[in-house]
Amino acid sequence: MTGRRESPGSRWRRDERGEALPAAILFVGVLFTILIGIHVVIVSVARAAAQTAAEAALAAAQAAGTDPLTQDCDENPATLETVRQCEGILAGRIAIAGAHSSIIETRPPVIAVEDERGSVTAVVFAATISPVLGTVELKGEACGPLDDVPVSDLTGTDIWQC
Amino acid sequence: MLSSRHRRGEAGSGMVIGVAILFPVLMLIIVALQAMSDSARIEQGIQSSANRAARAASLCCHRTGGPDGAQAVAEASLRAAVSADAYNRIHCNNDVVADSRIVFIDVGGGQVAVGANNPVPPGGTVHVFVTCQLPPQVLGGFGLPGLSVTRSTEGVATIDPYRYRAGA
Repeated sequence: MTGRRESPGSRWRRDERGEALPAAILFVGVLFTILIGIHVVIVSVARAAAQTAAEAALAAAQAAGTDPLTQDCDENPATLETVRQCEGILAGRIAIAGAHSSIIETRPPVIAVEDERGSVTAVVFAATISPVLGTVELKGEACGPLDDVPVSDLTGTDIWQC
Repeated sequence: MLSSRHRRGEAGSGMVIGVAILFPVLMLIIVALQAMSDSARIEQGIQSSANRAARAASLCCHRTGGPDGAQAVAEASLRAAVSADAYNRIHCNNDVVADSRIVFIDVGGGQVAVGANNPVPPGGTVHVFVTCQLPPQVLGGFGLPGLSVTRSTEGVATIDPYRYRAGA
């Protein structure tokens, strides 16, 4: 009988000599599919968390007011931040800390205020661990107008281009 | 009489066929995962745009309507969200501004009409409802069963009653 051979224990035994390589390919394919699936889900969730943190930082920086007082908020003594920047940094860090099951902070958020244009940009830096690529660094960015911009400027398009 | 070489090939062909069948299925699963990931990212962008519009409308103005009213500011924010050089730009086949809805709710839960003479309700909320028709190429060029291309989100912001507003 084709494909079968006799053995002492059983009458017929299946010939498996040609199946090792396809079985290995199948196993690796299934394994990679599972890993890629986990990677996509983890990175997607982490990206959402980082973007949410950036939005939180932006919301805080937008409404923080124009207090000229400066202090060190980003753990870098060489630079001093305004109250608006500090509020944004604090809000971004709290949001990242709240999402610690998804992401961890890699460095303090950056809040860039453009007083002349009347806009503020918030950038947060975070990382997550993927089974495919290991540590994946993510960046969340958001920008919007300052709270003291005249309404006539807000209804235009220039103020939103950041 | 078959040779041993031929016998081996026929015996192993079952697994080879299995691989041939399962390989496209695995590829489809990966593509579907990618499409769903893209879909989640796009939905998040739309949600961010709605939140930003609501926040801007809650911060900016004294009046709900008119040329310098909160509604106009929210619409400007949405218009910017679909422009070419926006962060987290959203791609929609429909007119996002025309299809969006901006609603003001006072502290008692009543809806405040949008008008040039109607003040924004202090302590109330601004709700921005955004509807986006995603272009099919965003989802990999084909439709996945159960994955609708129409996305609707709602952004909400509270109106600070003690805030000074520069708008007249």
